[in-house]
Amino acid sequence: MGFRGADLYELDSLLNEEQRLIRKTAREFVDEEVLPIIKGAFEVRRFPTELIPRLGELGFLGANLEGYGAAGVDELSYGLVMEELERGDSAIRSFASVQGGLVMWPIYTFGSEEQKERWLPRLARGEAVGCFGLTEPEFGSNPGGLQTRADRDGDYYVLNGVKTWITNATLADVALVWARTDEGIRGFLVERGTPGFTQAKIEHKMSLRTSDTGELVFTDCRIPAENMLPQAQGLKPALMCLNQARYSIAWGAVGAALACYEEARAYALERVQFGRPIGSFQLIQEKLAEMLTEITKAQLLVFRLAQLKEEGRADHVQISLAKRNNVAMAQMVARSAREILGANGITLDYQAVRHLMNLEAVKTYEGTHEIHTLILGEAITGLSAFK
Amino acid sequence: MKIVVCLKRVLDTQERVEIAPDGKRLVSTGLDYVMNTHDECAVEEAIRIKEAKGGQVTVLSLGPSGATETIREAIAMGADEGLLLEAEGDEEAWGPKSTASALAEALKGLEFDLVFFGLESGDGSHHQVGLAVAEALGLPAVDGVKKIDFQDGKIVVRRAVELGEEVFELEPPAVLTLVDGMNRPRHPSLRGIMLAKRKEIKTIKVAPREEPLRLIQLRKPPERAGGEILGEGKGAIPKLLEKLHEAGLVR
Repeated sequence: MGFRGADLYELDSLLNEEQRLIRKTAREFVDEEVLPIIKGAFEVRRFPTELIPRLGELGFLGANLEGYGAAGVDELSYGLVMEELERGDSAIRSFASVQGGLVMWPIYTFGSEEQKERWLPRLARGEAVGCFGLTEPEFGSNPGGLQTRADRDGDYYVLNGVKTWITNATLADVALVWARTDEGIRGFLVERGTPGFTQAKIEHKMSLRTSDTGELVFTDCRIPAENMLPQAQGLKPALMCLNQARYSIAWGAVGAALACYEEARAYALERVQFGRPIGSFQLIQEKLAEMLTEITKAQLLVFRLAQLKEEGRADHVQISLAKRNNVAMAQMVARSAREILGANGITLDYQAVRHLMNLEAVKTYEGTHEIHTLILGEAITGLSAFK
Repeated sequence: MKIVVCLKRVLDTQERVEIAPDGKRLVSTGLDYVMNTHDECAVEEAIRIKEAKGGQVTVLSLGPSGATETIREAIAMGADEGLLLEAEGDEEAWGPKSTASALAEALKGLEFDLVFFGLESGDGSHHQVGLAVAEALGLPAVDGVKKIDFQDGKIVVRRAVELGEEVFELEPPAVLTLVDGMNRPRHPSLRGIMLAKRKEIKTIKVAPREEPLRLIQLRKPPERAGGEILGEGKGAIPKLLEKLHEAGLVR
């Protein structure tokens, strides 16, 4: 029997025919191809590369872009796909978010026609993997200070610097790297195997264990000048990419929360203590009531956010609010689910603890929870606490 | 190879089945409609044949206007076009005979080498329409096909029978009813879904012409008695053997 998540406010009834079918495809993919393997992959810290061609074939990668082999779905459908992927695991959604929102979207938006033709169809089909290099060891929440240099030398740029906490770092065939030039910050497409470019894995993670997280190191790495994104000048385009990824995180978090909630609800009805199901106890009911309340509010947020984004009106403050709220919500739900599951909840036989661990990273990446708080603070007061 | 696949949308009764107070229909509120499982395999088989040998797959369905959603799903999987026979009147007015005669009439206007049906529908389970259509069109039919091969211009089909299988050689045109499990139907890709969205689905209104089967009453099967836990691990073996002896299942 397929997954059916809580939908107290009947948002499903607002989906059209194609949105329902798109979610069905994503939902069945997660049930049949992600959930059966995810526990093992998480335990041994392996990214399931066998899923990459499937993600491409089914059209999940860069699904909200038009043309170049992308599916061209609306923003709501894209959100539904992200929700389902993260119901599987945050790492699978992260892979898709980065490939679609942080690599394909910027090439699509800021790239030359040659760059689009060269990369977008392969990235859409999962025949190539991309990563996004903005964060540096000394510049996380403050990307504007980035130190990676790109110095012009004839028809080339010479890159020097280090990028870290990069999703898809060692899998990537192409990295979109943001570096400082004499004309300000610019984006460069750096291909795997370019001399002076190394890709290394970050080991010993306890969160997003399935994700391929790593470092990109550039040592006198010569990049043809035509690999620079012509339409991206300054830091703003890089931050615009983050809005794409944050949008998909806001949706994804709902998926992780639903997985935990449904698991805990079923357990509470089956698990008997003191001669009755633990779901009959007030303390468990309070937890479930809180979980469902917060999930429902988060669902309403992303549903409306999708409408705004479809109309081209979603601004960074609205996206920050949704990312901040929904990830914190998912973490609360995962923690409550873990508690309802009792001792069983600490094993990977159940999903809650895996989601709980993953969400630690999700809360911090793509703008920490705290930075999103300050983005809201700035929007409310007109006074920036961090600039 | 031109293939027409006849399919039906049915209530998704995996989750729960409730009988309406009149005892003559299922409660449909809160349930989704899905493509009949056997038909899904028939669509998949037709698409695989098209991919291997070229040709065209047309999807034909009889049902309410909402059935276009199910036709679109088949197009999203890879079928080329769809035709809906929009059924006038209540669902109860449509028995297998009326359905078969309307489908046969529509098939006369279509070009095909093969017509596929799912073995039977998941709701009515009458297992009549495919064979009745073959009869009406005067075409050979094989019922319950689990494998289709192409050899030297002949179509070789296999159906399971007790203790083995029957193998038939056919020349087109022919009608086949296909069983669930012969393949694993693909999920429609997002690209397929977006293409299907733009396809126009032709619709022809049809009225029932034959007396329907009269449904007297629907009843749920009696609840099965709960199981008995005899123990855990190796310790449970003696008791289990005892029970099996009692039941005469081992000697």
